[in-house]
Amino acid sequence: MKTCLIVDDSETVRKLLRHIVEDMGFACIEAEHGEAAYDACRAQMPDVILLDWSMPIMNGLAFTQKLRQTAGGEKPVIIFCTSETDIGQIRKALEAGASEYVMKPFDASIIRSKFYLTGQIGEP
Amino acid sequence: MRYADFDLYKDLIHEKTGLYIGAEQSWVLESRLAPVAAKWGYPSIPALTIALRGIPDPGLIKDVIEAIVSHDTQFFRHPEHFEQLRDYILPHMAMARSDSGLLRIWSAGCGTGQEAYSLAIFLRDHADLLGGLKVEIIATDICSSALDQARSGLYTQDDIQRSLSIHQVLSCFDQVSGGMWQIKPPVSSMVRFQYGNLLENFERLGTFDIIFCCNVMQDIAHDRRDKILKLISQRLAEDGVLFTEPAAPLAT
Repeated sequence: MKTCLIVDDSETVRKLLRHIVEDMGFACIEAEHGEAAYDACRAQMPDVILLDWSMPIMNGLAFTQKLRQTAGGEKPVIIFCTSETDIGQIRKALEAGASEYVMKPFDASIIRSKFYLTGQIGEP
Repeated sequence: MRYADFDLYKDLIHEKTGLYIGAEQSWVLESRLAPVAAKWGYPSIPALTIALRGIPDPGLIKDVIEAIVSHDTQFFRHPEHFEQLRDYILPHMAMARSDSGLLRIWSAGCGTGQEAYSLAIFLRDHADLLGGLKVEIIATDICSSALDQARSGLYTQDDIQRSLSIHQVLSCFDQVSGGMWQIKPPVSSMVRFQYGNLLENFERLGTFDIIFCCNVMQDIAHDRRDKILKLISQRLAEDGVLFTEPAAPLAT
């Protein structure tokens, strides 16, 4: 079964994303910030990472930069899922190595669409 | 809404557009008619309905129809159509149209333009499959307010997140004020939006290589569907392709 790491400092958001992603047949792991997410990746590299931007200890951008410089860190699909909606921020995330980008608020069909576009599921 | 009043709207829409509205949609009808009643100074929807039973202003009829028939569309709503374009249709057309050098596409019932712009975005992304063909996309709809919105090229954050990759968003849209996104000129210049009622003869539009008539057919009453398909088919080149609503059964 494919795995998805959900990284957000809001438990509510993590729960919502878990529900959506488990419905798509993924096993989910959660992390509250970038450092915990990096540790989780070192233990087992997930297939997909859903990633918030603003988090304590290590934010989403710093996590992405660090992961992509780690052996094996080029593999996961990284989908930012954040209330940062400015085009400059979007470009920064993509330059750091993000695969896709979702602007909050989102719903299940937007998340599904991004999983489909990144080849994680067969149909949208 | 009284059944007799609902029947008036149902018959009006059917007569003018061929579209069918079921009784289960009557509650939606009231919310859509309220702004029309307010605009024309009617204190209530029953008062608006009485006016429609008399000799109504053509402008009022137009506003009523537009308020009722506007439909939701979405970027890349049917991904399988684009797969077929990529795998079979564009390679064929690149060879078959090499003499004329032009590929003509019609988005019939285009609503707020997402289907037409999706085609433009897709063709830009797959320009290598076109073999140098120029592309002309004509998009028609019966609803002028939808066409105005389509021409503006303005979409919400929610619109552009559905089915578009972030890379497509960044290359084809500018972020503008109020959290909105606007189609860039190189994309919008590929599409021409025009008023069009599917019941009319579209000879004026010429012949098309590919026609999309999706997201409309399921709303068309059976007795009009065949007529509309016949009229549309008359605009199709001999080796042309018609995409229509997958679930709509075609009468034999």
